[in-house]
Amino acid sequence: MRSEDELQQQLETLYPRIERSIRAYTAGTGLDAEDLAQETFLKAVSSLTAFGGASSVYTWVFRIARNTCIDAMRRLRTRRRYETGTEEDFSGFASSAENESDEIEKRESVSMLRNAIQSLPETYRELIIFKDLEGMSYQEISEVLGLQQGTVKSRLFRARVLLKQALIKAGYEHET
Amino acid sequence: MKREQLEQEMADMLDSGFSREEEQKLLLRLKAFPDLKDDWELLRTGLPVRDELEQAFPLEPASDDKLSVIHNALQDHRNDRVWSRLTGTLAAAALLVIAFTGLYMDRPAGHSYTPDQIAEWVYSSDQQQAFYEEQYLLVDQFVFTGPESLSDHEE
Repeated sequence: MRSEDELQQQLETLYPRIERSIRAYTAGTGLDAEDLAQETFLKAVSSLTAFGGASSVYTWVFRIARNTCIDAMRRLRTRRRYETGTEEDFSGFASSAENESDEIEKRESVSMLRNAIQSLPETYRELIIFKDLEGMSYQEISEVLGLQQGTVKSRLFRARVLLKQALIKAGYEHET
Repeated sequence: MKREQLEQEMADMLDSGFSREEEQKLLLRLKAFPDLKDDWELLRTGLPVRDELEQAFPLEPASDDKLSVIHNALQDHRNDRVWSRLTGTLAAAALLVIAFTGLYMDRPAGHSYTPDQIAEWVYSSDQQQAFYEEQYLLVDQFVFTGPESLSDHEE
């Protein structure tokens, strides 16, 4: 089977990228990116038969990873709501992560950038991850998200504006 | 031009670069959307590049334990597929065997004849043949010429 062989061949290179994207997407939530990456690939293996090959294995696995993250975050949100009895959104995760991080490390640009990405709403965060971190094309992103390329572009523009605003607020200085 | 279209255009320009002339044209179109113009001014000065993002979220090598679990799952999937194909083929072969056995069992029973029976059959066939041939010859003797010919015979 072609997709099975493709997944087998790409596993070694694709796994770290998926794991990194999950780490960036779920940053500050306390979720284990490695566990979610493994779950993603196990889901991919179990649904290999259903995979029609309409898209590339690469974008298909990213789509599964995204859905796995959304499910995990939804479960976490429900659990926290149940435990605390209050509604909690992910800006809360971002600020808690910021508070937890070391004061010295907080001044470092890497930490600032990480926190800024964490503070973005999920719909914008994923676009920064796919386009600016993973270097995916608009075609690939639209396949993963199931959106028109035009929508991806305009949403990415807004995501970059929000990221830049968050970075300016944190006193971040670009390398460029 | 709609906001979304302008946002798309600005995203393209930020990705692929732009000349001063292109930017001037864009700024003219952005006059109707001052907030978008502010956004453009904000982004045109620079965005976190990929290197910076990769420093924030570096690639980490996959742990062997996690990979081996996935490899095992892939192997199990492959084995399941082989088994399902094999059982499918075996089931089809079994059905064919049953069908052919049924056809063999329902075949017409064979007969054996003695030389006398065959001779008898040939003899009776000859007789029949002779009878038909004679009939044919006799027919020629009755020439039908109309109602008169019938009356001739009656006489």
